[in-house]
Amino acid sequence: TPDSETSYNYSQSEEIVQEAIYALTGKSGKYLKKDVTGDFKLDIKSRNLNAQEAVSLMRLAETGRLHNEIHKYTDPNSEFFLCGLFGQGLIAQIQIELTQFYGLIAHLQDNLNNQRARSFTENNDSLTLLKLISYISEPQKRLKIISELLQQCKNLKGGQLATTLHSQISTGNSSSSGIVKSFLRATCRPLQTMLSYWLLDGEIKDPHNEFFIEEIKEVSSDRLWHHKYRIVNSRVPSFISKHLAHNILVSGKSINFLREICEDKTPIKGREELRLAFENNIDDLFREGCDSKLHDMIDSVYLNTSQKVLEIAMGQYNLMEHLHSMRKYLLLGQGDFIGLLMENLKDELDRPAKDLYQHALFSIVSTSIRATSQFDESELLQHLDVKLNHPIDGDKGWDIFTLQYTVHGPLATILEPNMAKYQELFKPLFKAKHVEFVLNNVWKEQMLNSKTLKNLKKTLNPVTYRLHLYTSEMIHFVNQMQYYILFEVIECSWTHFIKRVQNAKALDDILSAHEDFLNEVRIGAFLDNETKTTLYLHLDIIYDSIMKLEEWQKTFYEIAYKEADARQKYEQRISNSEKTGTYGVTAEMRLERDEEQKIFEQLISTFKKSLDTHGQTYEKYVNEFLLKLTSSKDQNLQLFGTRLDFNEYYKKRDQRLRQPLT
Amino acid sequence: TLPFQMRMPKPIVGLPASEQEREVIKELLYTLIGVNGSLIVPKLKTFLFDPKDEYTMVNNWLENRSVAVEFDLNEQITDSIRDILKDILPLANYYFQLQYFIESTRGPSSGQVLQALSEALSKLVDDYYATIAQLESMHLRHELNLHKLLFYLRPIIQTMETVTKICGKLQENRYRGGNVLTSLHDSISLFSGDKNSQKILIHLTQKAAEPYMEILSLWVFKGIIQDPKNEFFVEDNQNDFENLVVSDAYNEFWDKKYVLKTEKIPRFLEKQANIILRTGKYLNVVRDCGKRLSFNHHSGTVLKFSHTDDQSYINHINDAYVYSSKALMELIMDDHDLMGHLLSVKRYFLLQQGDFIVQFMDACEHELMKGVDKVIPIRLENLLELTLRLSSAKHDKYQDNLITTLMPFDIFTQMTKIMKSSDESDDEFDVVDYDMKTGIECFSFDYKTAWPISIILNQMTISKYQIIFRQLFYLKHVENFLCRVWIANNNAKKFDQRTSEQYRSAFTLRQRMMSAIQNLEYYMMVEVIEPVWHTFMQQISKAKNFDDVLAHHDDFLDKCLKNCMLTEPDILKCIVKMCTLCIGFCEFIEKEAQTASTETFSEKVTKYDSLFVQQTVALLMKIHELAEKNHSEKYVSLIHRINFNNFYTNKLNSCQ
Repeated sequence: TPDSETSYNYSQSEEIVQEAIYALTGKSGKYLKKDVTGDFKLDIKSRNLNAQEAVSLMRLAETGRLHNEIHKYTDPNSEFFLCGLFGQGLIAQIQIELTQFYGLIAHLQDNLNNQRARSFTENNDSLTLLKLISYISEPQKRLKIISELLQQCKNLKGGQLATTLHSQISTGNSSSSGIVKSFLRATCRPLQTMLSYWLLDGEIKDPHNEFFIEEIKEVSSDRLWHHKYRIVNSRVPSFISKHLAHNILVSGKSINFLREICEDKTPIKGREELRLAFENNIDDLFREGCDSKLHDMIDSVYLNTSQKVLEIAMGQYNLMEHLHSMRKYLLLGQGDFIGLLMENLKDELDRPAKDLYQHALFSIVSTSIRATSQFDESELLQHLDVKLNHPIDGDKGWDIFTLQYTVHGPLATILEPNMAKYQELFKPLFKAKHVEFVLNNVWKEQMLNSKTLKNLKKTLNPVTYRLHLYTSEMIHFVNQMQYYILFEVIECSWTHFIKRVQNAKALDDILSAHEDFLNEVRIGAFLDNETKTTLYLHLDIIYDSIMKLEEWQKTFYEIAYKEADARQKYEQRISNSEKTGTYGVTAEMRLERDEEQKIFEQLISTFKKSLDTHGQTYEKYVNEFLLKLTSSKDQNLQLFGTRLDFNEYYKKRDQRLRQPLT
Repeated sequence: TLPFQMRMPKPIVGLPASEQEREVIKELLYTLIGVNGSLIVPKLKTFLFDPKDEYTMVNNWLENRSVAVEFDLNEQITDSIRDILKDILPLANYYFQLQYFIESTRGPSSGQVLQALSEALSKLVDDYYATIAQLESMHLRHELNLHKLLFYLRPIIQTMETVTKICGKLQENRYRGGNVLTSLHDSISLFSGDKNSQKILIHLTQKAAEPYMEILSLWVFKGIIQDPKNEFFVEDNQNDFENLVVSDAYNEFWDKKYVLKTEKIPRFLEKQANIILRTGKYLNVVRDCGKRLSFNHHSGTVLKFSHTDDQSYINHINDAYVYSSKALMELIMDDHDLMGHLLSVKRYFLLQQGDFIVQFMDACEHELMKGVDKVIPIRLENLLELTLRLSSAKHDKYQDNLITTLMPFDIFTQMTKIMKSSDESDDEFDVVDYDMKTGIECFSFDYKTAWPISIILNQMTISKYQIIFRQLFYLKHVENFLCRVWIANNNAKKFDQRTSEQYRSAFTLRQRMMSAIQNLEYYMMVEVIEPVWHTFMQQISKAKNFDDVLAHHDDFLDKCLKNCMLTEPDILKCIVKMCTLCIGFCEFIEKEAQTASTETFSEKVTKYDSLFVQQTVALLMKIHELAEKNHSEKYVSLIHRINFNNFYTNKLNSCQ
């Protein structure tokens, strides 16, 4: 009968619809079976479906497959499960999406049940496959977007997860970008709490190692400022710029610094506002342009905390004064002190290095300080110290002596990495000063001796004439060198540095300025990698050759004095004998005297030769040095070269220097 | 395709017409949403847009073809039903094509605009599903017949057809980004007769434009290009801006960094494109200088395309433009003191500061008189620094920006080269031997500028200043030399009558040379540069945006160059020759003054004299020619100045 036919039809179609509803949530049924991969296949039983029913079922089963895809990300047992706090946030959002979907399915099931309860004859708006397709079309698209999105997030955690999600945000599909946004928001909820902990209290709460700032536990708090915290680049989400990440790092670091090192526990300004901003405006983080309110807040926290650190460092701990005195004493800024020190130390340091004692030297240093800078003497002596490097055989005191400046408390943490640079710089500066000192003495000797040795003038003149020339050449060189390093390099960089300090907004500004200052000085003093092997080495050779002149002069004058003494004695004897009335000298004695004088004259002429060779080697070294300077790319060095050779004395004498510069 | 044979449909042959119709409708409804039946069997047809591409385009096979379905009807269906079906079935085809379009454009590779369009279309399809579902309900209630179905579907068929056609066009031309919008926008007016279709098209266009307008507002309000799929019509082709600022290449920033891609501009933004480009460009400069943009007024508003009310987004764009140009002007003028820089450039390059230039000339002349390869640049630098600190230029804030350079060629060669490259003329010029040049011929100042001032004072403009400077400096040098000879010649007054008689001709010649050179200088500085500078200053005080400033500045420089006759190689050559002659003469006199005067002295002076007259006349004639060509310019006054008391008139006339 047609009736039973239709009733069969209806009950069968209801059955199929029921099957479809099961399939929507990924459950196998009579006709649709899941295969190994989780895809649905039509079972052999579906022979008695007609073609359209079968196709419709397959179309609906696609939704089920998507549902299963998504579901496996929330399943702790599956390999796709998202780990970490960030993953947890994302899973929570997925659950919300799935719940919505289940609500729809439940609604559909309700409809079907109602329809069954009613008699089929009066049923005129029954649920059919076609209607199901129409209802499910929208949620299916949503599930598809989610499933595609999650495919990208496979096995990611922390910042990378956020980065991946953020990279999907710019799509023309508005519902897709809406979903991405909601996922991103959920994923970043842990980040939000981590950030507010970090920015407000300087704490890191990060059980799964996801936060992009890392605390290195092994580092003790005295190296807090430079080494304790760092940014882990791979964990920084793409929407947090380098600059922002840096500001965030410094803010938290400053808080820790204030609390732990400076023991300052006052809370941060604008705490509540920031907390609120984090709760309400987390979306701003993802936006382009970095000019939202949240960015402003983070900036202001950064400014506040670093201002505070700056104030404490500059005010309470006198950072600038320490920097000033380091420049004064370690970079030879205070001339009278270093001159006096040189004078006082001379006797001690001329001795072999092994015989030196630190305390003895320190007492000399402290007398020098007392004599020159009596007003801040006690304060200074707490910081200034003598350090003797480990001596090598043959070293003199000059080679191992260094001054050291120690700071305590918070400043030690801040300045820690730069202290070694001061040590490195002190040595060449001190050496240059020493050479200048030695040369001055050489000149002094010459002046004194020229008067006392007036009698020998005739024999000595050819040598002393040369000697004067060489000495003044060297004095010129050393003076120019001193001028260059002390004025052009240190003084100029220092003013530059001070200017930057005055404009500094944060402690790091000062520190980086300080570092730049030291680097500039380092380069100026030929200590950077490039010039260390060329210019600095040459300079050292030149200095050594100047030192050798001192030794030469010492023996030269010794001999001259000996001769002068001998002559004087001889004369004395003559005059004595004249007084007694006897004719004083025997022929033998005269002969002896003549012999001695001859030997002396010969000696002088060998000295002249050795002086000349000495002078020539010196000139050779200077020429090399000039050549290096003029061929340098640095304009300052070229200028320095021109100044060293201002009247083109060396240029005229050396072919290589004459080559055109253009 | 199904894995196995399905249950065969019940035969419909024997059924009464109404019953048959019912079966057909049931299957038809499913067919309309793309579910295959057995009475109406779809046949897929694909065709390539360009059949030749079949083999080469294997990889993007999908994009290169369009699909359509046709239907085979079961023979058992009666003819009348068959005919009605023919009216309805195209809808199934449109649905299929649309679905295909949606699927192929939803991926990220097709760009944001197409993605947005795809989404809007799929919403449309959802509505379509709902309609079909309703029709099915009617069908289940036995309220539907084929005629009624056709009646309900008719309007849908029409709009679907329109939409499908447009999608087909987009697909065929492989449009993306702005072109899609242009195409959609154009189609709106094409369908203005068909209200329904037009409404849908407007809706689609609005939806598709949304992401594009978002990109646009980000650019216009913040100067950021957030365009991962390269759809926007402004392109940033130098991403490593940080490096650029450090290197020299940033000179070209203004023209090259952001480029308008004309082919990508959507039709409805065409008029604003230029303003849009500039707005973002300005904002970028301001931001690069570390200034916060405070254009919060519009930060929340997103530009929206609207077909009826296009004023709203245009107004927003204009507001943003006004804001950004104001911000940039403030930045350049107030924060970076452009005027100060310009004044200081004028001070040094256009010889405004007299005492500085005289001192500098005194200090450097000796060095610069040497051959150029003997000049030591460092020494020049030193002397310049000394002069800057000693003269009244020490009050100039920007004195440290000034440095010295030695050019590898003299001014004439340089100008000829420039003119040649711009005019492509075949004028041959002598290859000047570099070794022959003295320092003074190759000497020039240079001016270091920092970002963002370097946008305006870039290499190009500075080199224009340099050309003027070199000319002026050279003239100054010649004048200086002549003056020195004059001092030396004062000794001649002490000579007796007969010897001084001999010198007289030389003195008059020197006097004439002096007046020619001085008049040339006077002309350049007072008659050309000062007035042009004055108008430039007035223009700049009125300028509203930065591009105006740039244009005025270029205009100023070009006018200076032109009126100083530096752009005319012929005249320049004459002037240079004249100067060389003067220098030759001076050297001769200086040398001769020491040795005893001989007969050859006066002979030589006469020779110099005739040469000088010859060259001056040649110069005057050239200027005359030029003046006749350009009536508006000031050349005539120069002729009057050099030929003040009609000294050369006779010779001029005789030449003509």
